[in-house]
Amino acid sequence: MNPLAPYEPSARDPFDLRKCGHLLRRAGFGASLPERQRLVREGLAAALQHVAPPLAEVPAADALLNEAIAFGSIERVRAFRVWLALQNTHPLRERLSYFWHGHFATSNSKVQDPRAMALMMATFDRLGTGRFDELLTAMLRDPALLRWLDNDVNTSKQPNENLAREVFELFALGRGNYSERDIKEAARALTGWHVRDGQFFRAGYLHDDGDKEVLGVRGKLDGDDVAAIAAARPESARFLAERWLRFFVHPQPERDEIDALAGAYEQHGRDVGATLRVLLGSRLFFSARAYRSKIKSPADFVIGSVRLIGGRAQPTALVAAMATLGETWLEPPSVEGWHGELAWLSPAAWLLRSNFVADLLAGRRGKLAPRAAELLRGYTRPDHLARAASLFCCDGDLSADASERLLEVARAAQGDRAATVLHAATCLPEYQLL
Amino acid sequence: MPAGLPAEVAAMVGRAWWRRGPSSTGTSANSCARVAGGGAALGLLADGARWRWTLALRPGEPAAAAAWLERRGGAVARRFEGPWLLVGSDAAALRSMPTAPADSEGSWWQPALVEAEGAVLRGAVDLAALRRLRGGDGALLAGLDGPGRFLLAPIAHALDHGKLLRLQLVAASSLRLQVQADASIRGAAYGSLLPAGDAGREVPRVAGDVLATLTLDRSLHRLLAQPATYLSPAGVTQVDSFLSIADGFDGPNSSIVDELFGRLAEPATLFVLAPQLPPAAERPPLLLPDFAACVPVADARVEAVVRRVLDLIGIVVNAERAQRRQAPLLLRRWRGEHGSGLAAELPEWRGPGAPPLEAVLSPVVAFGHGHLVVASTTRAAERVLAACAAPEREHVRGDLLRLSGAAIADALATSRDALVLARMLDEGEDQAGAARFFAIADAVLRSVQHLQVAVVPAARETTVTVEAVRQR
Repeated sequence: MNPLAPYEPSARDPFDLRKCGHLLRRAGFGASLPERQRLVREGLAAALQHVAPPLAEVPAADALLNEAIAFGSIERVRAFRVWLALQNTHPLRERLSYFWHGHFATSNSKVQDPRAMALMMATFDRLGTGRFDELLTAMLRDPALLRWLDNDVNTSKQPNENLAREVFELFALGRGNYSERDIKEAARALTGWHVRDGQFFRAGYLHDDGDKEVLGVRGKLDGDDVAAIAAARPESARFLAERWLRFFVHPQPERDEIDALAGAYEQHGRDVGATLRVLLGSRLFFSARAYRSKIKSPADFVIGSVRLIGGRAQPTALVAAMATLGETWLEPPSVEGWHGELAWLSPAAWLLRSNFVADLLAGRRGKLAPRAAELLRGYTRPDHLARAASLFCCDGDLSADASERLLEVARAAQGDRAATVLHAATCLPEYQLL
Repeated sequence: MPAGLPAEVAAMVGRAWWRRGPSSTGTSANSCARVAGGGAALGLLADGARWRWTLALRPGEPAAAAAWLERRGGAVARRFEGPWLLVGSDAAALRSMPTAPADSEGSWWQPALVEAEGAVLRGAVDLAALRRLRGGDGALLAGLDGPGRFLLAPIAHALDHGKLLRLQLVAASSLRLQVQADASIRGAAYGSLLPAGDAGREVPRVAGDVLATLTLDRSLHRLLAQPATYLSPAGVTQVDSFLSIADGFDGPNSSIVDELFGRLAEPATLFVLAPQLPPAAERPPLLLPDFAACVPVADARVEAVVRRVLDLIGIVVNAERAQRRQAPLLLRRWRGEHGSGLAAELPEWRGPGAPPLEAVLSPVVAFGHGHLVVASTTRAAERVLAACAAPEREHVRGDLLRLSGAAIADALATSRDALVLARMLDEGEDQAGAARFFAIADAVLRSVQHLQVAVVPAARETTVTVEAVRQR
């Protein structure tokens, strides 16, 4: 049976709040309860259209890019990225930019250039939902990545293999799908792929223009050829399919799932957006195996909490909160990006998450609007309050034990009861899951 | 209301004003006349950790005033004393009030405190009592770090040692608030950083659009030469750290403290000037105003030391830029109409996106007409050097900060989009809300021709004057 067979809602298996919340969390950064309820009413097709509308129909992500980099501050660029995620104009685009940032993990700690980092993220926004070979070609010309992986000192006389190695191992193929000789030859092809005046510069006099052989292809190859050759390999399709399945569906995808998604990728002309639309509309995506199978990253938790409340908060304060929880955008811990999943949660991290939401609801993380009391206005009975908080935070899908605990909190709550109950709901194990 | 205030804001203020009026005894102006048409005196008393207040009113209509108080609940104590209505936050506060006015004119104000003819508002604060509440003398100055002390020592010392603070607000052609404390830093150790006497000095007067001017009459040389006299132990360590690096620039050739700072005089003046607008395509989204600091030169030999130090700093900066793979600054001798020096420029911006903040900078250190000028652009240096050459001077007593509302508004307008985004990111506002904030700031700034803050430490007292002149 094809794991990517389309999910068709039925009376027995409806597209309900639970499934809608799952889609919006995985293909974006979550949504408010009224937005989720509206999409449930409009149905699965409308929800899929909502998370991945045609790019031409939504505002470009770089409309305020020049203003964001004007201050020359990496903090401002981070806040701008969080602001974009909060805007949610194209949930899948923003989600994929987050994915690609982890995939082509590049850190400003070495690049030391907020403008280059912002432009790299803008490349993800622009090309991240398109063809992977185009994205890979652009990335091998990206000033931030070239600096991060030392390709700006890769010359014909002294080839540097850092970028070539990561192209094969981390970006396009995965271990076991290339040889050391391929790396050496690709490094030669990438010589002279440098940066000047903050942009890509092909330094012809530093480029090795002799014949090379990369992954069985011979010729006077250069960086663009390396990108095209690597992206065209069948191993690349399986490598990317596994990455997407881990990110969007389940931390441990099965072999048949990987094969099916790699096949869909090939079928759709290696177009990332088209492939992911198939995945997001599949039975696999909405399966019990996928549901709440991942742990929220700090970005999912922080941005998602604000999105879920349907309010606004200060992006700079959210950036600081994410950093406290262990995720500093534009500064991944290594070239492998964030390891995620279980690494995100520990008793200390849970406490920090709880404190973040308490601060957020109390207005100590900036101007959160609307306030908790306004969100749960009209709910006065403890059981109604507990039910409303369950719907807001967990799509009404809680175990009997969790529901009972939430009800106890609602009964005992004093003062700002709405904030207390919402806070309690965000402390539940279910809320830590994506 | 400032002209140009966005219509919705003006309407909001208008509605608030209107709501306040009818809810009391008519319009706000009428209410004031009925309750305190003959004047009012407010007193604040500290009683342990608790504050009490008293209010002496001379109502225009005693019955209306009593009714007004009645509507505000029975939480306050009051009594009529002839034509005066005396109010206290409680019975004890009321008992503490004098039972008769201070003079035959019927004023409840103690004229011995502040004699201010024509002041619409007068006030006196018992500083000694306030300090007793806070627990001791010298707390403010001691709490300031090095730069804080250098800037604010006269005010902090006056608040730490004065007995009485007198305030008066005069509303004439301008709105002038004068605050005077009966203590001065001149007799204290920190006073040796100030010039002898308070007659004031002449500083260059820069023509054209000047956003802000800050004049400081202090000796940085004395502070760096004897940091232990003026700074906390942490501050002394900071100065020592700075000097251990700074003295290395010119090596054994000179002492930075004595042969650079010691050859400069006071006062130092910082000018913030309107930026020159580059063509739109070359304009950074955030356009800084021009900055230029100007100090008189006491000994012309300082020029040679400054040139040697700058040459070395240029090399160090360019080495660091090269390590970051940034294009080097182009260092060149600069010669203007009124002076010459060393300028640094970035190569022409050819990168992706809008030019960065620093693309329009050309930092320069120049000498001319007996002054050293350090400026963010050669244009600013030229303007300030021209002012140094001109016979017109401005007489300044003490420290002076002057802000020009319209010029600041113009400068903000050139970077509006970047500032709006910054507010969206920092405050979480949407684009419309952030834009409205700057529209209001623009209207308010344009309504103020200039705002001036002067701090004058005289022999026995320290006076701070804040004066706002409205745009006519």
